[in-house]
Amino acid sequence: MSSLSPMQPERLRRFVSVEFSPSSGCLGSIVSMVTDFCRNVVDEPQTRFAFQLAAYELTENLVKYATGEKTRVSISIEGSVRGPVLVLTTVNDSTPERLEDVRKRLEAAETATDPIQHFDQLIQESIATPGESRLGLGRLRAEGELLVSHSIQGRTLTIQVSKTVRRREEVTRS
Amino acid sequence: MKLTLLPVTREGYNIIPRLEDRKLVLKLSGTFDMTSANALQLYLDQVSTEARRQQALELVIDVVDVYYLGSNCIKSFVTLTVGLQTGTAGLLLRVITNPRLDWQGRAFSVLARIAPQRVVVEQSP
Repeated sequence: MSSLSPMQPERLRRFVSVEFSPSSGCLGSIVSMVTDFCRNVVDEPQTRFAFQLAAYELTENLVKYATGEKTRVSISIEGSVRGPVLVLTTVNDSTPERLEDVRKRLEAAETATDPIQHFDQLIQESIATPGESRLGLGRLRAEGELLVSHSIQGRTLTIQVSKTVRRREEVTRS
Repeated sequence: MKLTLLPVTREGYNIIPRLEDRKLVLKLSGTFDMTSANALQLYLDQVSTEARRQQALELVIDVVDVYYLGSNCIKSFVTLTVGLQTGTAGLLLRVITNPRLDWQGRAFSVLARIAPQRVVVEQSP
């Protein structure tokens, strides 16, 4: 991996991808992969934390809900007309019931016009519901200020979180 | 009254409690992800009980050395906050954050939104 300075959009694509069998034992390794990648391409501490948060929350979801032996986590940075975009992607299979549940929660998170208000609503629902928190996806937008998108094909769920980041030289100047 | 809460030292995180007059202080450090969520929930349940037993006026949670807090653990703090609201008249929850870790202020501000009269989130000097 190398830094992205100076920016040359046509060369601006770096990525790391890993396939694994989900277990809590691999959580730290996946998060380290994502945070190491971000450290190499982004200077902004808030963006680095946002992707660390996303790596934890999405990988924890994989550990809890993925079915099958193989799931995938990828982190990439690529050029766009607005500047470099950092993208974290997870791919996993799950049960139809679980996919329907996560679809609803993802759509609510993606379309919330006020992510903090949406997160507060999730908190209120969580107070009334013992057990799992179900806060992670809302937190990615409210705390991480990340864009969230997803697709479901058959039993395969793909989630992407992304953020347009500043070029290294812009960070240095500001 | 002697403190009944014990310090916790695990791989990845620590919780050190202490009592200062009627102030119950918890110093958390490390990483609180899904693997520590259940233990944290059980511990905070004990904290709630201990705060009542000690008739504490203030519960201070120092997270200056916490480097990650998962959503399950945030829920544990939410549960603690709601429990303190209903079970401990007048107790103030004060969360001390690290000014160099912006995420802490954002993560814990949810507690102040739940109970604005009972929760203060402030940065360590």
